Amino acid sequence: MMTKVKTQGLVTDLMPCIRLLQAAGHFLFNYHADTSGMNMLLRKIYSSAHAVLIVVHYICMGINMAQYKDEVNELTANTITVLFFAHSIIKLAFFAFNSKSFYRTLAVWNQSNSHPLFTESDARYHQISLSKMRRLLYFICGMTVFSVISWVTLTFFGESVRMIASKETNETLTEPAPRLPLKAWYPFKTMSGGGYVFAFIYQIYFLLFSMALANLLDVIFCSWLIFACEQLQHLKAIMKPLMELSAALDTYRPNTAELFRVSSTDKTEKVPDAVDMDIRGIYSTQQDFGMTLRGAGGKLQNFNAENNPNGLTAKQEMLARSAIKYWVERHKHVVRLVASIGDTYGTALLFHMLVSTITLTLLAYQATKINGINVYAFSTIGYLVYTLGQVFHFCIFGNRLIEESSSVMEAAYSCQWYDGSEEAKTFVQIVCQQCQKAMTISGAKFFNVSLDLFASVLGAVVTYFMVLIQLK
Amino acid sequence: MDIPKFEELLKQIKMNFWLMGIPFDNPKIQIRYYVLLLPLSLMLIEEIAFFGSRMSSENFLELTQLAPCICIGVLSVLKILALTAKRQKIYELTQNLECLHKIILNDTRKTELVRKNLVLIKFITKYFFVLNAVLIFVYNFSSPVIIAYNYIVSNEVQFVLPYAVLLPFKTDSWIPWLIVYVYSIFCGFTCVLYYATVDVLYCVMTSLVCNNFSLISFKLQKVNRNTAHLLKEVVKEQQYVLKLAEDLENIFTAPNLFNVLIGSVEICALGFNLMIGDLTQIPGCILFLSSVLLQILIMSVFGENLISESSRIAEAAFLCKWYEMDQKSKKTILTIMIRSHKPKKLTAYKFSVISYGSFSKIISTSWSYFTILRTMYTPPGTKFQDDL
Repeated sequence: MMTKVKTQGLVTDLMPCIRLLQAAGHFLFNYHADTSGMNMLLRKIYSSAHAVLIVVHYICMGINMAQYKDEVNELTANTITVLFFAHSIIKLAFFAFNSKSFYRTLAVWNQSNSHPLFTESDARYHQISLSKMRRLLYFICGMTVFSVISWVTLTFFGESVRMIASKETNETLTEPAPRLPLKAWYPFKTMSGGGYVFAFIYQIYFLLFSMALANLLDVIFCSWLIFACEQLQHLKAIMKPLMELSAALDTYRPNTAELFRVSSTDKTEKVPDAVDMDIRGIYSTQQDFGMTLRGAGGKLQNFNAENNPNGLTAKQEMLARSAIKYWVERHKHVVRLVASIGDTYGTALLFHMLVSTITLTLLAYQATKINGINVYAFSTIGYLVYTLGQVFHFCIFGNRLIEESSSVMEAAYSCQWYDGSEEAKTFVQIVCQQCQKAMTISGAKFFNVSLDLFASVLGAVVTYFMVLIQLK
Repeated sequence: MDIPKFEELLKQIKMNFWLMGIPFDNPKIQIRYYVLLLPLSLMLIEEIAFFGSRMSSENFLELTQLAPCICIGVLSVLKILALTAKRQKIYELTQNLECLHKIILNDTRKTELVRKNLVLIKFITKYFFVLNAVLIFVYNFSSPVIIAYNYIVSNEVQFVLPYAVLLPFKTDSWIPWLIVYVYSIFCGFTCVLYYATVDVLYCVMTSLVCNNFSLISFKLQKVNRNTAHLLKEVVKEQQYVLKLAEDLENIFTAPNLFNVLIGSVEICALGFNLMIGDLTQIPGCILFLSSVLLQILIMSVFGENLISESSRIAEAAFLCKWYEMDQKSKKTILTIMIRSHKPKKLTAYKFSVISYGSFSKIISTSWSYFTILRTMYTPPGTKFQDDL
């Protein structure tokens, strides 16, 4: 039906997720093979239809909330539901307005440098990140479907009533309400018959698609973070062989003979045919090459056979230097990726945290009214677990990024840099100095995404719960 | 006092590990392990069942009396489970530390540096076990004493059990009471054995790693222009000890997390009991509370030691005569300093760092929860509580 679209970099890795996003109705119109006007129009209509349906139902829920705003219990419950689905609306709108920066972040990794010595390690960590991204996607999809199923199942338990406080007698009366997953206002009768079936199906659609909209966008964000972390792992892994390579590159005569490692010379000789290749083959893009051939920037010392301490040819030295260059350029690329991720998704995280904080406060209040194992308890705890789970989802990946990026310094230190050349030592120093500061994702500069954030959110919920239970 | 040999320090721990069924030289778990663990777990389930059966808003005071026992039981089981999962790492770490210790003992200068520390560890090892053993003896054998006292005073036999459990049968006569009593004290001893061993192991290992860091600092400080080639040795040693500290963190991160979480709950419940409970409870509460606080304090002290010792290497690097050395050595010193500015921390599963700061945070968090509990607690029968 559709010809395979040619993709590269992150888009190839994230294609299943992107297709799911398009299916769920996000305004994602790139990455199709067939970009003819008719098909694009159809896709735009598809997304708009989803958006309209979801917004209309959201407004219906809002009208219901306004109708029953005098009942405290009803108001709290409806507010929580409305806030819960606010995530989906916000994320839908956010993506629609910010799709350019999403495309830009997805394109950051389209061109990456490579080095013949490190391609195997690169491929290995790329594969690891791919499998982790897939597993995350399956897990989140499974959890979304599970949540929808358990929500619908819970609808059939307990009484489907509304609690109304009678003004005259000041006691709580029950008013029958339709047995639907969500409380919403409809212009037609929904107590039974055709209206009921239609509303039920509409609500199932709404539940599934709105949860999918919100969760899939979080999955894209976390997948980006997984990719960045695995790239950092790759950099840490190649530090050791890089040092061993540089140990042979001793461009100054050493002071004492002990610093001269014979074994490292042997290792250099084992470098596969690369030294006989045309030097141009080492780099994938011409601009990477600017330093040595044209002599701009780098100071390649020209050694005759007698002056060169290790007996390396100029080509071998260039290989060792190119390895360092590869490392630094790759690290800069990762920093660019992380910065792009932060710019793209930071504001969405800020909105998410704002809405979640209010939701959790209200949920803490609702939790104080739990008086036994019943439908009310299950639904409150379900809301709590889901909301906290969403926050935990991106906090844990943000935290992993911080851990990985700050452990690069330790990896740099733990290799045998003391045997390396002066250049290698300077390289280790600069890397250590720079990597002391961890790479973080911030929510529009208000907070850093880490497990500390999650712990503070959890602590705040417990505190509100304890204060509110006292005020009861 | 004499410098203790490595075997002396670890003798009691190794014997305890053997007793628990996870001996040092055998990677397989013995039957003894399950024989000790399963009754304790069963006892915990019974205690929790009892707790659940008494749960209602009027019994709040009683619930906070039951909570500490359950908490300590749960804590010791979790700690030993976490440690059993990492026992291979523990054995390797002990062997590595033993090798390093031997090197220390061979050099009198080094021995002098760490003398005080080692003597302290030996002291802590001995008296921690003794103290806990005494406590559990007193607590366990208080029940027959209370029964005897009641008999003498009121001439009737009340069957008192040391721990409140929910049992499917009554313990109103001698035989069932005796069975449950023996079972209870057996579980009590197991519980104390578990958590005391884990704590002492933590103290000993952290101290030994700290010692190695301080020796590296000492060696680094003494480097001068003529001995600049020793810098490479120093770096290698530092890398090795950093790796050992990483293993240490790996082993103890889960037990530390459980300790922090459950310790806060215990302090809260005990403080509440102390304030609101009746006078007969006070000595027991004070004893329990001080032991919990001491345990968390010791954990934080050793964590803080590790942080300070590993960051002292940076100071030592500055204190050596680097200004007289050649360019290469200065670069090496700079790299060492950059690395050592980031100290080696022990964490509670990355959620929080174990240090003095975290200790005060635990105390203040428990205090705030305790204040909230106190304000919201209304003694039953004094105020009409609305139905929800």
